[in-house]
Amino acid sequence: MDDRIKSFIDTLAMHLEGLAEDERKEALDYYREYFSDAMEEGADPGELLSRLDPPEKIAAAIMAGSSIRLVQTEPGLKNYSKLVKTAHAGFAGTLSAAAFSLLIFTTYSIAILLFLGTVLAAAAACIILPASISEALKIPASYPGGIAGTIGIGISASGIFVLTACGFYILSRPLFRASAVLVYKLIRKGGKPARDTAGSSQDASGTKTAKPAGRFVKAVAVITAVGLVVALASGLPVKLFLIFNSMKPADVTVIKQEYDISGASEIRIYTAHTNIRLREGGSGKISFEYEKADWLDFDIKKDGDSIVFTERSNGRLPLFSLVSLHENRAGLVISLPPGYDPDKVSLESRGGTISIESSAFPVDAKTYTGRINLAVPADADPDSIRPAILARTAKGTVFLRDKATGARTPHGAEYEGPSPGGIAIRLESERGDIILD
Amino acid sequence: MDAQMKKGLLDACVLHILAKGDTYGYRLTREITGLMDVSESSLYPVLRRLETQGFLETYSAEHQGRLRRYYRITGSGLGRLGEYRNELAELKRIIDFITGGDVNG
Repeated sequence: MDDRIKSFIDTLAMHLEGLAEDERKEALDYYREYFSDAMEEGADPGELLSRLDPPEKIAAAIMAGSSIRLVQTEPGLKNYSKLVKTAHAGFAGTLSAAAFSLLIFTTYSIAILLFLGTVLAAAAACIILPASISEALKIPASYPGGIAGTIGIGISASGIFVLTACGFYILSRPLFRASAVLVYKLIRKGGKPARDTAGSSQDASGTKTAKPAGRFVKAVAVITAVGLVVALASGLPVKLFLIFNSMKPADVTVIKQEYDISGASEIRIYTAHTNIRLREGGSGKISFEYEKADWLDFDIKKDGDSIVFTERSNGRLPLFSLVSLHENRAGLVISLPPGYDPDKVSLESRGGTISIESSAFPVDAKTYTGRINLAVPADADPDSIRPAILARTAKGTVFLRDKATGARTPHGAEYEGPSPGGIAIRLESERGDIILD
Repeated sequence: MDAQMKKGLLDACVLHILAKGDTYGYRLTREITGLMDVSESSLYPVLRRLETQGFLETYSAEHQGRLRRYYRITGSGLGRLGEYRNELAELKRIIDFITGGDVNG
């Protein structure tokens, strides 16, 4: 074989490095055969070579064609990067090179976003499932429905996240494919005739979806659906929905209790979740009216001179620490007879609101996320509200008759009523607003 | 000639030549370069693409003690060629229209 032809084939072989072995062999065979046939028909090697493009250029066209086909059949980051690498060599004009840079920048950006979405959704799935199982383990065994429902919610929620992750991944496939088509068009438009032939495009037939991935998605979808059915059957999602939207739970039991005022100089109330309402009135006795939700336990007792009410979770509702931060629409109403003169009334609620409808009693009120309402007597002049009020909130706002008021301190908003010496009312909320009107 | 147009014509030429009978790379190239101005080395990627698209297939046959690869058009290749012919018939009418009406004549 002529030396020039041999060196042509060697250079071509070198530049086809990275192509799949069978494709590379096929290309080299084609050109070897091409030269053999040409020689056989009496062509002059020098003249023949002068009619051919340089081997580097031929290799670039073959590589780009092959990598575009690869992206078409198996669109993924790896094959797309291969295409970018091979196509990169194929640009002569500044304009098409600029368009190419913009195109791959956009494609990679979207691909990275999709990738992040995939990772985040997968991570969420990995967190939710064990978290829901650990919540379910806290539920007493006497509530099997709650346990099954909690695990069902966990399975379906993490299943949805896994499906989302798969969706993001699957979306990247048409993205790479479409981008490859555009790269192909750019190469053809910007190039010389040799680049005309860079590769396949739109009508490439390889749109196989990977079978195992499809099976995985199907399996996850089935598991998610089963989890969802179990969760719905347990009634738990409805319950959580009602609570998180501050709607009244469907199954409350009303409990009434009365105490004589004699020998009761202090009232202490703590609720985890239930709203507290303090009002003046009633039958001359201290009366409690409590709407008990089925996931809460309560205890009310007379302890010396004190009446003590406490509420806590019975462990039945998952995510109670989160749930209890949402106000409940069930309430505890405390009616104090007019003229009753306790030493102190302390009201505390973690997530519920506290409404104090009378400013005739010395009250300490405290919430974490709940609002506190205090009804100031209608005839009182805002500048000289009679009870000595101290209202403090770290993250909320103090409103006095619809207007934000109070000094901003490093610890939040603080308002002090102007007339000390009267009945002392202390209102404190970590995150809720305090409303005086 | 416009690159897009040339590419379509090149595909059509290859399919047309193969429709007349199987042939091998060098012969195919000679026929096409005798007809249109394309680089002699640019045919391989075209053949490779047409093959993956299923319009043609290859087989090897012995020739003077070595193997030579022949190209053969497939059924869908014939179908594609038919489409090209229809498109080109329309193009021909347009070309006749443009070139036929000699303004000075």
